Amino acid sequence: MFEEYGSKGFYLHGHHAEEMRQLAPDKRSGGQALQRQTVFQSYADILPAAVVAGFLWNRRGEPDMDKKETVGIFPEKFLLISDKLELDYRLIMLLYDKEHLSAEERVNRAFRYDRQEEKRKIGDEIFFGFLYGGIDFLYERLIKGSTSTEEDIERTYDFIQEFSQMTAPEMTSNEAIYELCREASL
Amino acid sequence: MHIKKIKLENFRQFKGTQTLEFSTDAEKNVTLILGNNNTGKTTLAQAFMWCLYGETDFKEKELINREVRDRKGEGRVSVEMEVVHLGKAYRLYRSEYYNRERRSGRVFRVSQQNSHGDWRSFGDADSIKKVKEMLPQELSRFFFFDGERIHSMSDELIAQKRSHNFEEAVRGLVGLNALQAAIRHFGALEKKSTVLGMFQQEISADSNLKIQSKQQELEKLARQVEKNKEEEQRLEEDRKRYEKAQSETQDQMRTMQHDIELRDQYDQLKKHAIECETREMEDTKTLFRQFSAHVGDALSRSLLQPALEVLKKEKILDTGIPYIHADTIKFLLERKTCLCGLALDKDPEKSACLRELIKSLPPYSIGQMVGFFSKQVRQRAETSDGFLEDFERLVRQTRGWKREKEKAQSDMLAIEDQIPDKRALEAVRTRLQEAGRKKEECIRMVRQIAVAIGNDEGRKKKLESELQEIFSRDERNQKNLRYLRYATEILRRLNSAYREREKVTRAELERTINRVFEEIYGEGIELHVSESYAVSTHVTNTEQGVSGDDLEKNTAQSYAIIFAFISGIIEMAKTKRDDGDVSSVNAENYPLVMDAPLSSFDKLRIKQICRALPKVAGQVILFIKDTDGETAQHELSQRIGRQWQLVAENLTRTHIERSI
Repeated sequence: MFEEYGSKGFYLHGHHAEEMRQLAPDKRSGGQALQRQTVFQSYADILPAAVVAGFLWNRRGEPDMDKKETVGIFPEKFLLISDKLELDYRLIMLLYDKEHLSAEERVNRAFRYDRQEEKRKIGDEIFFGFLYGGIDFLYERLIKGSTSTEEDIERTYDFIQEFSQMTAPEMTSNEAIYELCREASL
Repeated sequence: MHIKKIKLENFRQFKGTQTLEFSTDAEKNVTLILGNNNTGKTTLAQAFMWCLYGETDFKEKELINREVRDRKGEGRVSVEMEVVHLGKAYRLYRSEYYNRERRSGRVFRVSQQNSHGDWRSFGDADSIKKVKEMLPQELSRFFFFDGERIHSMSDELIAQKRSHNFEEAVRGLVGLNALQAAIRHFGALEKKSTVLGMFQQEISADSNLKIQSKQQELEKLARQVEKNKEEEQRLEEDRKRYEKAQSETQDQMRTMQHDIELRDQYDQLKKHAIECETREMEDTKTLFRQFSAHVGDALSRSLLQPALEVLKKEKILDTGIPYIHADTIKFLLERKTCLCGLALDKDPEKSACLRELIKSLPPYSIGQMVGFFSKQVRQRAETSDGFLEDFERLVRQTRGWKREKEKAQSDMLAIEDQIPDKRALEAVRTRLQEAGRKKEECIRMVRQIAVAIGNDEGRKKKLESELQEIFSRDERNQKNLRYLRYATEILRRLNSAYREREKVTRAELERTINRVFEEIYGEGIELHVSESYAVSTHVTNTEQGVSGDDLEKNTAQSYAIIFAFISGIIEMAKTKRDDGDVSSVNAENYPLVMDAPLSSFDKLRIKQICRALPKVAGQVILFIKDTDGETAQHELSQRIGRQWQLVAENLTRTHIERSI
């Protein structure tokens, strides 16, 4: 699904690049040693979290094309997360805009348009919209204005607390999920 | 003995002829000589010693006034004293003549005044003998005290070293010097110049080379034993000193116990704070690592169930063949040959069947994809399970370390002002260890030396017995051997008498000194003189909450001990006249000439010293700094018969003015 990024790498520019640098060790400074502890260990770790956060908190964004600032996830690193992103893509497609879209259309976006670039454009726009929005969101929630590691911890804790409360009804046991998997696969 | 006057001629800074008369009045027996530093107080004190014994403690041995020597190139230096001894007047005169090359023309003469007032001179030997009768040189040091000597005695006392001054005084007082001379005269067997040595030599004169070799070895062993014994004694004294230092430091440690505990507590808190900080950092690192790796999965976990519900409702059936795509079938139909080689264009029924199959294959059928999807979902459910709980636990843990760290830091702050300097505590600990180490070292070395002495003594005895064996074979040696035994017995008895009298005199001097010390310094402190002549103080009055040894090691106390010591000697010298000792001094009163460091005492002590000294000594000549003059004049007002002022004109010239 993300073959292009798996061969060329994934790049973010402008304010997204700056936000990525704040969220994970800045590659320009040679990594963690020269800066304080960061919430994420790598740029690659941010993407799967950002896209789901964008979807959950309904934050969407546009790619910033200001190429003065750029961060990149190299192909070999991107390949490590492409399966995760693929699953996130299908999950989001299945659940996005349930009010207006028919279940059939959502299933089609999730599974049927994999090889049909034209038809997949809408889904991609939605997915990457949440990705960009999610990066902004994570930056704002976890890092912006924070002055110490202690504050970073408190913010991540509050974020997780909020998420727990917000999604408690959807949180089922593994057994329930396995059961649903069986039922859905038949 | 009283000193009536002293006349100095070109003696050091006293240029020309200058005369000082001293009070000989029984009541007003004090003569004060005032002068600041470098006005010649010490020089004057040395003038007495030079006149009496021809010796001074000056490093620069030339005595003549520099101006005289430089200007004229030659000149005479002389000191003349007029004294009264046992009711008779004497003149003691000593002079030296200097020219450019050398000094010469030394003269020493004692004259006695007869009943007609004429002076009759003694010959050289008699002059020296007369002085010895008046005041033996070995005791004179305790009647002529300059400031430097007082300082060195004080240092000796404070350091609690063996007091050579005390030792010499005891020997001088009761004629132990004579006994010592006798002991030296009888001397050691190995020394050829002694009585014992002489007999030994007589015996060995007839001996063969074998005897000589044995005797040489014996001599060598004896020297070695003597040297080792001295070393042993020195080490033993050191050991006692270190033992005492150890015990004092232990006492100090006990008083510092609270400080030590507080310091330990502080160090523990500091260590704990650092530990907590390290754990906090480690947990923070783990926490972020976990968050980074799993937060995406955890967030998406909330989407799994609703997404699966969607699929469940859609009822997507998978009728396809695994890993076969619709494009695969289309390809087969287009090439018109099946995988098995069947020509499809010739079999419409089978072609229709394949066309029907396309509908159940991806992308027209998504059954397979959903199957793969559900596998991914299952994995996601597994990897995200328990993340939230783990994360919360890690946060709580991190906060816990932080709280503990802050508490330790706050506790540290609370006691920070009370804790003593770590270096001070370390210094005491080091001192204690050092004293213990040095003490053990002394013990170890004493043991080694004792073994060496034992071995040498054993070897010595063996050699002696071998020699005896050889000697006894020779009849001519029998006589000398007998004499040697007599002499050895005499030496033994002399040694025994010496030790006995030394012990008695030491005890008596100790008693006398304690009595005078109490008068000067007050009650509650007792002085003790050990066998090795180390002087220590012992607190006897424990009611004031003080107990133990060495109340204080300060200058005032040590000077008070010195005053008591001098007074004790003078007093004992007076009473020792008639006991028949060869070198004991006469019963009459004696002069005390001393540089008095009064400024080292408080007012009360000065008063007590000023009261005690004129009572003890028959005549007191005190050298005092100008700044102490007023105090001394006040305290001694009833006792001062004469007073002089030393006035320095320049570095090489001082003149004397009479002020009372």
